[in-house]
Amino acid sequence: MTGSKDFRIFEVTRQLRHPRETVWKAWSRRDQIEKWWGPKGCAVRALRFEFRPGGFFHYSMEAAVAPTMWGRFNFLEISAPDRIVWLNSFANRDCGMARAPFSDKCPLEILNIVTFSETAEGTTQTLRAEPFGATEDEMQFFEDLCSSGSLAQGFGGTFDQLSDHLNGV
Amino acid sequence: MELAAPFKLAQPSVSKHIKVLERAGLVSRSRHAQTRPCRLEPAPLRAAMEWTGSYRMLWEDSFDRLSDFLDSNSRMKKKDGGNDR
Repeated sequence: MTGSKDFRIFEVTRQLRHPRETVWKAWSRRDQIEKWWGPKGCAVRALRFEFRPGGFFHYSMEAAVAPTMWGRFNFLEISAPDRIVWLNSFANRDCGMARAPFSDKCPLEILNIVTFSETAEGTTQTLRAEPFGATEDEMQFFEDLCSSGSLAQGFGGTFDQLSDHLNGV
Repeated sequence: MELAAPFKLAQPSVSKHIKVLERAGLVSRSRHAQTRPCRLEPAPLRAAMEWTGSYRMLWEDSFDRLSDFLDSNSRMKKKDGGNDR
């Protein structure tokens, strides 16, 4: 499943020195995914884990000085042992969809595709993320952001430098 | 054009980028005699870049932990004589 235009937020590839079957288990078992997935400084607890198309990984995120937040993966496609596709979003206590509390620019749902391929040393794991269900305006904004992002990169990659330079003109 | 100076880009290319930024509400331009001074409106760009940056970091951090988790699991398996749970 791919979007009609390439609006990826990012793509990250890792080489893991473990057999693909082992890596697959880390993604597909509740007691394993809980142990590695999540934001820094948050304790993640699986409340629901249904590893099948249409199923949910519903989790709570507890951080020291913040109220509990919830999120979910809504699995769309599961093709063992090489591909998982899901929609990630914030959630409420009951696994309903919720908006990102910190930004209204953040899309409601993000489409994620992870693929696993075998290598001599182990597994190549690639995750690709792109916004899902964005309106045409939001997509245009995102496209403009990506093309202006390359402008910031050409200037040493720091946003503040760019800002200082442009506002000094 | 002063804006083009630090970039390894031709002026028409930079102009094109500025128009894109303006359309996205990230840059505002005014007129002063023959010039078009540009002002960066950082708030929307910062907001947008923050969530994409945060999301990327979430996954980079998670994958670091995935790697550690897989390594420690395999060390444990070796100690147990290879029992797969």
